[in-house]
Amino acid sequence: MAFDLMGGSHSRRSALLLFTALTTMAHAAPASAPSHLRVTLLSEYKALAPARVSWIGLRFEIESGWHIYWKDPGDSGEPPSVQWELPAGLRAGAIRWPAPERIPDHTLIDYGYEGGVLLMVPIRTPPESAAREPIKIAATVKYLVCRDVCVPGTAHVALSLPFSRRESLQPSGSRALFIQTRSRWPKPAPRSWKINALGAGDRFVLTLCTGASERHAVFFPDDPSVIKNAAPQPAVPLANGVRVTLQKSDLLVKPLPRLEGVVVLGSKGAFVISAPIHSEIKRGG
Amino acid sequence: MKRHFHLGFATLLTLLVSLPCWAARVGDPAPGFQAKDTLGKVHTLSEYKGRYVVLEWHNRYCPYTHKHYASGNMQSLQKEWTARGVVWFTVISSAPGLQGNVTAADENAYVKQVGASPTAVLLDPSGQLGHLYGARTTPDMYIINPAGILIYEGAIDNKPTTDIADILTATNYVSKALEEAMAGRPVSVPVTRPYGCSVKYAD
Repeated sequence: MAFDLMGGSHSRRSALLLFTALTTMAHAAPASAPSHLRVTLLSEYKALAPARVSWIGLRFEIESGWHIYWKDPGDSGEPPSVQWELPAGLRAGAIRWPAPERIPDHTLIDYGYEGGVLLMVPIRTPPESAAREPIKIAATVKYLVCRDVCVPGTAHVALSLPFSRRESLQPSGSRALFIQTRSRWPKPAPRSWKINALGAGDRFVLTLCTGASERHAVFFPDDPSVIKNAAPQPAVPLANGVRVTLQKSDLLVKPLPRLEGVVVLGSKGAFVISAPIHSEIKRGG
Repeated sequence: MKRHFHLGFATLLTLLVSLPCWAARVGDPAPGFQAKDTLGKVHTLSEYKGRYVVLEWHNRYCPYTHKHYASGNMQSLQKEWTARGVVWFTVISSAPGLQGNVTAADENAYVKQVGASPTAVLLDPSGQLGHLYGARTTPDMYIINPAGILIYEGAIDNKPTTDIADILTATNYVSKALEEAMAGRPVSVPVTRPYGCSVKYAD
């Protein structure tokens, strides 16, 4: 064997690295301490500006093949939850969820994220006079990470940030990730769009007139009990939009007034929609 | 070769019973079934006509199932309701090689170890029973009334988490439905979204 463990310093370092890698792998093995993801707390800027909203984010780096969940997890699982520990005067807002993906889970479909995601949260800061010391922001994050099996986990994260004048705020090394994440947020559907939904038998037919033909459209409901999440969503391009057929959920026990959620349109990105549902049978008028 | 044929046949059967329109619906007669338990006894749904029957989809390695067993919640429900005449079947639909698929002997040891007291644990490695009822998650709960009508399907309670502390403040839909039905009232919440891990059916 050509591998000389007792050779020069370079080889020794390689051996040490190999050993470290092996022991790290051993620690990451499911039997001992399965986590399958890493959570860190990031800030968009190196400091907080007083009396305004600053953005921080929980960064999930997820092991290949595993996923976490959107606010509506789909057929199984649950979204991450956060308990903030903030100094007096600071307030954390709600998580802004980037558009999810459809993730097959045996015979089900989950809505979530693979690879990684930044869950951004606005923090409202008090006037400067309130704090001269660096501010410690901490959180306990509970999550469920799944592949073909699921593992619950808890992460404790923290971040210390000084206050700085608004003019002299410096972007942090994570600023690009914050900008990129904002582009994945569902935007309000433009007012010029015409969106409607038809309740027809066991289906909803969702029509979006965006002004241009769309080839791809995927609907993610806010409520997991509205459509059959695992059913395919055939999309038909129209001259000025797209039509998507959804299967009604077995859990719908009374007529649904609106179809609410997020539609992801190919290259255009994700949009928040709330479409009134018309019944298939309309008499008179 | 033989093994491949067997798997193919099981898959075909699974496909046949997984057609969505065949899945059980609340208000309809519960589909009849025959299944073998971990002691080798065969149970037929029709032999329990005249009694309430609870079906509990189970996978001991699923964190949501674990929540209800580590807390003792599921065991108390089984104890309470079987004492009141209910037939309680724990059903395992995990396919061979997938999480939660266990041998009869292993399951019997587990039942003893955690102090569970279902009427029986039904083994459904082909997923046939699971697909017949449309079971999606572990846990996923079904209640059949003495007339053989499905009167509840869905979650065990209204706190869809893995957190044991939530059991204390949760509304248990199974107990609520059984209480109401036994008092001669309609079940106020007959259908809910089940929560948990996906049932590990053969793909």
